Amino acid sequence: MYVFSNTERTNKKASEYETKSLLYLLGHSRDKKDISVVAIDCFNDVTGMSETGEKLWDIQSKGVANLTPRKIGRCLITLFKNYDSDFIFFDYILFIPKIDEKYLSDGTKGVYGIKGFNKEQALKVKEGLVQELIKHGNPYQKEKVDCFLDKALIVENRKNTSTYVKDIVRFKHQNTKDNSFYEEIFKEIQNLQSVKKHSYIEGEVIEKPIDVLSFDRYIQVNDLKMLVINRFVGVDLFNQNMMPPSFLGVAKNLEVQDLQDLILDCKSQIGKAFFDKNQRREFWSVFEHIVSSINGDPRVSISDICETLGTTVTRRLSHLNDYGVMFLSAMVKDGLTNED
Amino acid sequence: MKIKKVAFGNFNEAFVESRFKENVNIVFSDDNNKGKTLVFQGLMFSIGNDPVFPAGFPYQDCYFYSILEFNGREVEFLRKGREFVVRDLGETRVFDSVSEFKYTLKNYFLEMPEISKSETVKLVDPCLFFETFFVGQDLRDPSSTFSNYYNKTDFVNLLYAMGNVGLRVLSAEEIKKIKEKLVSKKSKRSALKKELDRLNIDPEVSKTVLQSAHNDEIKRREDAIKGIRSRVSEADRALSREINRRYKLENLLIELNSLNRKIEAGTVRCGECGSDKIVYTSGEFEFDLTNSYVKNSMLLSIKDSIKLKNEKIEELKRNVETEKRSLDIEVAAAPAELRDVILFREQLSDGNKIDIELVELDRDIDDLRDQLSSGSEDNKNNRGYQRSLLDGIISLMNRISKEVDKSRNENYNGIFAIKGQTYSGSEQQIYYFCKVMALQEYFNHDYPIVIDAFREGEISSGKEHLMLEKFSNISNQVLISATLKEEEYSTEKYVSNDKVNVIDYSRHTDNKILSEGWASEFGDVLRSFGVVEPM
Repeated sequence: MYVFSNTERTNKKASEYETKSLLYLLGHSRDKKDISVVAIDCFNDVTGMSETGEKLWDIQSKGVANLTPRKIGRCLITLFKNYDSDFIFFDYILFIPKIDEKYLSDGTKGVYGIKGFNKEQALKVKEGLVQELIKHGNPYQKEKVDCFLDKALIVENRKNTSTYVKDIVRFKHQNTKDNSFYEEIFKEIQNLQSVKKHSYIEGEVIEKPIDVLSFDRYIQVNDLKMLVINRFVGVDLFNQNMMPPSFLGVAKNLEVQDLQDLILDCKSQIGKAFFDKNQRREFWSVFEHIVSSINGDPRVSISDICETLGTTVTRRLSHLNDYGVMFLSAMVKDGLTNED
Repeated sequence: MKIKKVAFGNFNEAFVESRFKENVNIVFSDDNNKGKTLVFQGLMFSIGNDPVFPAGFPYQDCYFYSILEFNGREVEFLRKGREFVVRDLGETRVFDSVSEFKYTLKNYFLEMPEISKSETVKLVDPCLFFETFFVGQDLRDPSSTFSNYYNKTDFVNLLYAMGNVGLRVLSAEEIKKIKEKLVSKKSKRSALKKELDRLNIDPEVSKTVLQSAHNDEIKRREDAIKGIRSRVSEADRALSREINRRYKLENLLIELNSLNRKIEAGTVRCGECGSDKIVYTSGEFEFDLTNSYVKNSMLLSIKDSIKLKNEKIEELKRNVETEKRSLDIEVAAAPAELRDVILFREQLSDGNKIDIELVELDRDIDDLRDQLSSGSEDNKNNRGYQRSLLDGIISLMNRISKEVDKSRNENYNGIFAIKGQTYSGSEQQIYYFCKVMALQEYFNHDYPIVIDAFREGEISSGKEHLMLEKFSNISNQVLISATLKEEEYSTEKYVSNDKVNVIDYSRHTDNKILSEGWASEFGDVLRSFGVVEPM
């Protein structure tokens, strides 16, 4: 008999927290709408970037529970280093489990600056950071530390994975889906995040933040949103009586029975498209076109979406005819109508 | 017999003509549509003639009234539609058909005989009888009678009867002809009957169809059956649709499962985090089309849809059964004839046509048989007397015709002209004039001579004058009408004297002889008969 021990148990938790911090960034940070790309394990665990790379959101995640203020201080080191670097970051966020309330002046907030801590604990935080800096042999300026601590945010993980996923994209009937649906999506994002870390960039140099894109250690925010939308559509597709209202305009000349047959046909097309991995690229192109058209103009008609779709794509996508594309567009468009 | 008064109309408007005098009465106007014909036809209608009114005149809504004087006694006649009232010395009698009325009329028109028609001997109808002294303006045909029902044979029989020389007898030649016709019609009949039988229609069924064309109850049943039939086919259609859809879903499931199996490959796992999702990161979108949760959810949803379809199909099957059963019940409840009707409608319409032809043939055959049976009375004497009666009348006609037309050469050969022989307008006038005058002279009756439009068709003044003279010389009252030409009118062609009474209708409004002015007088007449004014 052999019992496994000393395995890397912490890895699962760590990666989970990294994903959560990513989702937090997209769902709750300041000016989150400006985040266009998320760099993975480059500047920090997760770094949000605006389209031009001029605005940067920095996140360090630490899934360790019951951190003391001193430990919290130590965790801030990577964030401080970024603060201290040539690049200017918009936000500095430490994403950790719930902090013991005794350290905080008001433990209900969930997001705390250094001032959220009690005076003593705040000092401990600073001490921890300073200690860590000394330990790593990083020179620092005291004022910088103080300025940094004024800007840094410490965010508690207060929600479950489902909620973090829900917060990326608003879609209809989110709350009717059970948690395992969201957890599956969470895992998918988590997996991708892990994969992104496989390349080796230690020692590489970049001039501008935007140059990080050359390393392919990033995820497009739109892609993430598209992923979530796709999952919603997939799970809703064969729901009984699913009839997106936008599709009615297309089919208004049809008799009820013919309409039902048409809808069944569209759903079958989309279902097959979802399942056929050989046409994955084409499908995502179509899907991307649909999502970006709707983002550009939430009131765009589904027939316009279909028309503006490049013919090269649709020809290769064997499962979807025009009606299928329009039905899919309608599902996405109507699903997104609740988006903030 | 004298005509004293003619009136017609209703409580609101009427016309009363009481200016008739003993001798010749000429009703004239300078134009048509002054009501002359209405008065003449109205008079004859009131005493039982068939209605021959100008189109558009609502005679059914009018009361027609006349006062006739028989041997110094005035008798009143009132008619509306088929109802008659006769008042004689305060005694009132009411009849609701000409058939009844005519028997009372005979009390006044004593010459009215019995004649044989349709295998029975009965009192002649007034419309035929009146043709001996009344000539209407319309339907003039010297080769035939005015009446539709009676033909010239009937009229001649009437004359024989009036002359007490009985029924007309058929000659052997005529009998042979009738027999031949009878044979041919009988054979045609049997051919048609064979065809009808070929169509294999139950005579009871066809009787029902013909009788029940407008039967509401049958219509209701028919509609009910039609309704159920359409519901049955509707339910059938719905069932087929759902079966088709279930089939599509089952196929989809098979396809998706087969596509799904292709995905389940991959034993590669990430060493660090344990993920089995190893994808090539080539800059393209790297997410999978679905995840396993979504896939399973989809497949489950489709399976649920199929289950639902199964239920729906069972329900629809039950539906179809129910509707079919109620159709059976409805058809079974319908009477047998109706069932046949509904099921064999088309055949019946063909049969119907044959049926009608058969009925006509039967009528013809009966007619011919009629003629044969009545003609088979062999009475030589009678035939002789009848011939001499006819000859007598015809010679009178010829004499009179030459009296009014000095230059006349041709002779009448019969009471009626030969069919197809054309008479000009004036020849017609002469013919009718001669006919009624000859009849009057032969039978010496005292009924008034009534001729509407006596000079229709441009009779010459000379002839007209002679006709008028003849009219004046008989003791019978004469009622004639004429439409004068303008110059005739302005020169006062007709002047009253002791023999001629002129009545001018020129002042009457065109097409509007009825007026409120007469309503009161006529209303009194109506009320005197007990006619109640409608509210």
